[in-house]
Amino acid sequence: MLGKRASVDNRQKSALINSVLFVLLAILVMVCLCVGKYSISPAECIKILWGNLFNISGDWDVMDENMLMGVRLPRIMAAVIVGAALSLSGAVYQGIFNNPLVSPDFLGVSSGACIGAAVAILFAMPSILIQISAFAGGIVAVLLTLLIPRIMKSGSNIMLVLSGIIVGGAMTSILGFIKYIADPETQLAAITYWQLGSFAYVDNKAIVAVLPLSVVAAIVMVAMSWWINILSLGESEARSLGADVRLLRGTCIVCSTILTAASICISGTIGWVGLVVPHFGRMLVGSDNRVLLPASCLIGGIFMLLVDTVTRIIGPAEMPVSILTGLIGAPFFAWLLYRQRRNVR
Amino acid sequence: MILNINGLTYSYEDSERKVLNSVDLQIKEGDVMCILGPNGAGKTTLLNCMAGLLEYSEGNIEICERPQKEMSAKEIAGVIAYVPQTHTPSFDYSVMEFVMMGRAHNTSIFGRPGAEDEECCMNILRSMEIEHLADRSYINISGGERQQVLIARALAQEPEIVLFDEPTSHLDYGNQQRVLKKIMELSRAGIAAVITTHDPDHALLLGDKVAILDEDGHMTSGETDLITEERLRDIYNTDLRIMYVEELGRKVCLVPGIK
Amino acid sequence: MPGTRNKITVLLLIVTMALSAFTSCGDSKWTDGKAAPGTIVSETETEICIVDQAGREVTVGKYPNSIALCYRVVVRFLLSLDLGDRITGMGKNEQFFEDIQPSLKDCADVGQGVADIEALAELKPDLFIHKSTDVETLEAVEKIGIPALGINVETPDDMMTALKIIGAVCDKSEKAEMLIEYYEKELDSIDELTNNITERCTAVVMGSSIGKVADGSMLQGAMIEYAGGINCAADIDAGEIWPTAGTEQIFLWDPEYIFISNSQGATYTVDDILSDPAWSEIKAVKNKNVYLMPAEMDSWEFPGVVSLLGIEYMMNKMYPDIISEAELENKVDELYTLMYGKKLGREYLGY
Repeated sequence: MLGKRASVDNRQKSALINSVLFVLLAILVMVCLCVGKYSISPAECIKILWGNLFNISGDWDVMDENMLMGVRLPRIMAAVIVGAALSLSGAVYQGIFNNPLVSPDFLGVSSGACIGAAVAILFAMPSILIQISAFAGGIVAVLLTLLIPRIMKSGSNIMLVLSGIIVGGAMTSILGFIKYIADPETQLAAITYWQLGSFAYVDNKAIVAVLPLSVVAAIVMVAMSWWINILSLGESEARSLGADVRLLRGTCIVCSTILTAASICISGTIGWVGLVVPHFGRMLVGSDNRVLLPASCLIGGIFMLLVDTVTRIIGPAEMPVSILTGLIGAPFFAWLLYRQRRNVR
Repeated sequence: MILNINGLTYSYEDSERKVLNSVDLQIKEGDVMCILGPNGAGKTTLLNCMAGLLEYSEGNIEICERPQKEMSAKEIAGVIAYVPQTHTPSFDYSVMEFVMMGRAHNTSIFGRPGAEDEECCMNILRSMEIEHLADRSYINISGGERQQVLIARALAQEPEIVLFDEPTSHLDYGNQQRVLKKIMELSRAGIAAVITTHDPDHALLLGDKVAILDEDGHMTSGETDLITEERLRDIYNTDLRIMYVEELGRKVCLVPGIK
Repeated sequence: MPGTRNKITVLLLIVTMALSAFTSCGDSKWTDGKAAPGTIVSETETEICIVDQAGREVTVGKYPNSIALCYRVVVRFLLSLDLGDRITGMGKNEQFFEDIQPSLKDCADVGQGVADIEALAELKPDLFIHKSTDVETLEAVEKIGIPALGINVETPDDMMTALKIIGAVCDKSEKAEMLIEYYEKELDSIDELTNNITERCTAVVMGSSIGKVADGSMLQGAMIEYAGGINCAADIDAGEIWPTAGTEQIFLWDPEYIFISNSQGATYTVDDILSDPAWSEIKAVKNKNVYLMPAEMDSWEFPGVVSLLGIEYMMNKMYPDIISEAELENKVDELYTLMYGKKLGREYLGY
């Protein structure tokens, strides 16, 4: 009886941690809404938010309202969404490929999306087409990665990982080529900016366009979280337990790819988040994906929000978020590995 | 008949060598079948074929009178449980979470096991006297305990047959005996077991069915009297003695001294 | 002590070799920066040796008949010095270049931005012109026997020096002087016109994406100031070109005018900004003072005399009383006639 109660306790503890994370995220969103180079007093912020929420007009400055509702709120939302999406797909990828060192872009989605965007920039397309092209590029890259093992008639994880390396490498070269033929005086900056990722200007249209599909993908993956536990035991063990590995893994790959490509659409490519956040999540709530997936979403959202807010408020000019996520992510990952050195074989 | 294998032939891609060559095998309720064979003879391959993890080129396997190829992974998992060799998983789950994964074949793709499943798993842990492990992390328990947990997970599948892949290979004597005892217990409860092992003595100890797989993929099956000194010498390419030890009341298999 | 003597011999040998390597390094070598760029070191019947803007002494045969380049800004300089027909190799072509100098259509490709040394060796032009910051390329091109001139166009002064150097080397000093004189005269008159402005407008020039701005160290930033405006982003010193000031910072500045650079491949349009409700309270948006920098065919924010037009365009937008639309058109015609010998119509240029 004792054991049972303890396991229930464990789950309650995890649920509690998730609730705490959710409240923390909510508080941070509020706090971050109130800070920035353009100063609006917290009281004013709350008044404007309240007013907008319940459609009450007030005596606040229209400029302040535009700043808050039109610039800061979308940006904060974008950061939270992107952080959550990348972390969720990172956690899912690590689970379904039974490999804690996998990041959401290891099937080539990031480099594919960059190529999509770069090609659109090369042809001087408008921003919405650049975003669509990036999304399509990401999906195409993953399809290519999935195609190679098919051609080689191998269903193993290793083959998929190698295929990801092949496609990723080829994509990097293609991107290099595009950058080479791109006009260094006009287009190169835009391509590089896309590659480094930024929330400096968030296009509401892009968020609205990719959000519904992303939410569906996220819900599907969270609903499948227990089966992801089973997949994380490895292919044959999962199958012997009754898992339809191809169906489950296929669905997860499709959903993760949608999420990652969508987040790249919003902010360009941002590294490290999808790799590191799930590990941090496991430290907090354990490996059970039923708890880990929501926790990763929340932690990812919090992390991205904090990083973006830092880039937003410090210095005269904003630096690309990828620089900061790398600077924080790499040492943090090293620390995690140090902590878990016993389990890393 | 739980398992009926006819003319099963398997060879790895790009390889001429038949790992399994026209293998026939029948397993009934409560059978305990020990598969002996030298390293690389395809014992594990045979188990994988039984569990539907490998696609074989020739022959057929029937599970409870149904062709295996027509069954989904879930349907197979409802009959056959597989106890793999112990290994450290990449992710850390609690023993309870781990055992609950045995309930997968009863769970829908968007579902998760409920309180009933948890009750069932708890009962299994209790019956195996390892309920104290329930909230321990699977990574941090000993090898013997892991083997017990793997068996518990197999039982959570409520199978009719359990496949053991060298269940004793990494265990100390005490744990080896516990596993073999558990297998006998299952057999008495009507659950069949297929065990691959390197130790002919375990086959003698379990004392039921024996199958010997040679390097060419041929299989001979029968009772324990199949285990003769001559056969063992052929398989393992070394000298072995089989003798009746009165004190134990059974036949044992031992190596003569190493000079 | 034969061993020691051997060592000394070897050492001496190395020193001699190193010295000879230095002296045999060719016509151009680093100077201590004593001679100002544009200084003619020596001139004979057949050769001219000049200090380029990388501070190197470059010897060029008189006068080069074929010129190659992969730094596109240089094309405009050469065209304005009537040297278009001598360009035999360049990077990416532009419709505008071909319209000014049809022979450029058949130009060899020697790399865009990055020099294709093999193609250059094959083409063997009399002169290679490149940006002075890329000394590695300059040296590499010299190594294959092609005189390589380093040009710097970051500031107006540098631009004039560049004109002077190219003019001297290519026997176009007269035209160069003419352009410089025009440029200085125009700048003076712009200065005079803007001197009396009491209420200066605030403005920013935005780059490839919304939030990126031209700071004080950039030509586009300086153009606002020349035009009598205040560049909100003047004080950003991020050590990079087109620093990301961010939307918030721009809201904080609340500029009266927003100019969008047309040389950065901007991924957004004037309409995007005008129609974004969040921006609606920004002064520039409220008064519909958001403009894409002209001109479609020939960017007026490129370094060179043409940047005068960019300044005058900004003035026309910010202070229409000082320069009217018609006056701007006159200036445009005047400048293009001076540079290329022909008027380029409003419709053609696209402004």
